[in-house]
Amino acid sequence: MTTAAAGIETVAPRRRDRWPPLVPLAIVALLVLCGLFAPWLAPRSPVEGSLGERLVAPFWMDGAKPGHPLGTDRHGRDTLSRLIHGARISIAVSVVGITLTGAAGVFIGLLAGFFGGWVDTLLMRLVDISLSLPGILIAVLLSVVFEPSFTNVIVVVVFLLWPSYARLTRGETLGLKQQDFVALARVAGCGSLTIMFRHIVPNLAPSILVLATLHVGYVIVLEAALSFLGVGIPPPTPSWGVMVADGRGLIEQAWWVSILPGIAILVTVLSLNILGDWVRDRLDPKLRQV
Amino acid sequence: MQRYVVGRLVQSLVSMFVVSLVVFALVRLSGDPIQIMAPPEASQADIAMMRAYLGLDRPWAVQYWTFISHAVRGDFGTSVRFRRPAMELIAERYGATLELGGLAVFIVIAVALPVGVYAAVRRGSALDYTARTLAALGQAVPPFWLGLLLVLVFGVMLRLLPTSGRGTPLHVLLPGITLGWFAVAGLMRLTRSSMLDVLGSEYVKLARIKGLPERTVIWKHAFKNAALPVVTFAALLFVALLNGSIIVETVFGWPGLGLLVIEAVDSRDYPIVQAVVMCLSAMYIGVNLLVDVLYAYLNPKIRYAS
Repeated sequence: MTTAAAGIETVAPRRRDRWPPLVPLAIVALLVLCGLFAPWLAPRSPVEGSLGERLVAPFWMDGAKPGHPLGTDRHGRDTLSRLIHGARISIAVSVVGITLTGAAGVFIGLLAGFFGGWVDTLLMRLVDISLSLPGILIAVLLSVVFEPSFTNVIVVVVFLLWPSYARLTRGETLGLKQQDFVALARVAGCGSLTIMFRHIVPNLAPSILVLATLHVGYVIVLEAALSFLGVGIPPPTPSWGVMVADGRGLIEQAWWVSILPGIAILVTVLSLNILGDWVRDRLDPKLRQV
Repeated sequence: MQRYVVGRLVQSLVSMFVVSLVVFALVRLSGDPIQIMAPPEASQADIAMMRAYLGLDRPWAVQYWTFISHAVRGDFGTSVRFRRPAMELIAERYGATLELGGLAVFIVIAVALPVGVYAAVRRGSALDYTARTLAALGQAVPPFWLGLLLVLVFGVMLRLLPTSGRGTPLHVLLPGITLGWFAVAGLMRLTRSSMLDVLGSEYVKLARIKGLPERTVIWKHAFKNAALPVVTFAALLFVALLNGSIIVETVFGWPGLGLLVIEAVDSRDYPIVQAVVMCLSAMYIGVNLLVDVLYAYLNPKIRYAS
């Protein structure tokens, strides 16, 4: 920025920074458990309801019924079971989406940074163009052409996020390829591919991991937003965004249908962001400015 | 500077070209429109005639040229649902989106800049703490859900504000706040960290030593320099508002472009979707270009580099 050195924050390393913040960690662990074991943990089916038990209130309100601690929705489906299965969708989208994005972005960034010249120019122009396209509109378009689906959501995630991985990788690669170990590998007879994947990629891992952790929360909100708009995960699959959308017209009679999944998103994303910041501070403090 | 501006301009045109290609290709990929339009008893000759009439028998490049040359003149065809030109519907709706966006921008600037500046000046104070909590929440609260929460509190429980549609000035309040909230957190964070950088600088110390009043130091000396990264955020702000407006308009039934396009998705109204996507993309790319040029102009490092 404008003044170098003058404004740098000097933060003394604190003891507690060595351990991850416990509450967010517990929440995320619980979420992963829910995602992995949803069919066994959920008390009822997430997609089948009984019409006799429509809009049952959660346990602390009048009109609650045993067996539905968090109430039911318009179709008599159990909110708790849908929330537990929804965790599965959120995790699947973020894991698949970020893995694919990371792989594509890192590969492109690696090519650009390592080879330089016209390859670099071409690929970085692609990054600029990609960044200048409005992602949510592309999502809308995709959903008109193809039916809304899990794949659409992944395409949108990859489309929106690959430039940041490509840029980060390119920058780091530019620095790494000047280092002695790359020259030595070259002298030892390694080809470009070996140098790129055996010698440079392992050195990129911390930064990429940090970026990926910071993106998890963003991807979960993005998926929920797309599903809420009807251009993401199609109902009746219990995505949290779908659940919020389901309760939209019921806000007067049955607020819990849409407010509870929103709280799930909020708590999850907040926890993930706090953990992401912690991972960044531990692994790669220089990303603090990003 | 000139070279930079021309370069950015060319890049924006390429982006717009890519958008148009994507729109064109995706709609063609969606299947043969004749299959949908022609009655099942139509003969082969009828279908061939229809194909020729719609220009679908010509090569792709020619079809693209037809599409783009009409699009440039604002002709995106007729809405399937409303049976009116798509552009006419856009012209009707965009005023509502601008109204909503205007209020949101006002909220963002009126809240984020002062809070960000004073959070940096009084670092570690209660204000700073509140600002940072709000910023953390801002990133985690999904805007569509915040909208519903506001509807629940102010519309259903307190019965203070209307929750759907457009009409009185009160109608714009809840959607405006929801849309603004979306961007407040980011701008506040950026202003704070940018101010912190500047406040530690030598020239701010000098201004203080000269005995200038604190307000002058903060706003004239520090903020002016801290504002540069904030300008770049204007582009991001616009993105947030654009994405947000689609969501917020859906939540509040606000009759703008966002609601128009989401309704068009539901009814498979291709011309409307094409038209809205092209128009909003053009705005989006245009604003990005404008911000980059403005940034280059404000920042002598870029202005004299090329």
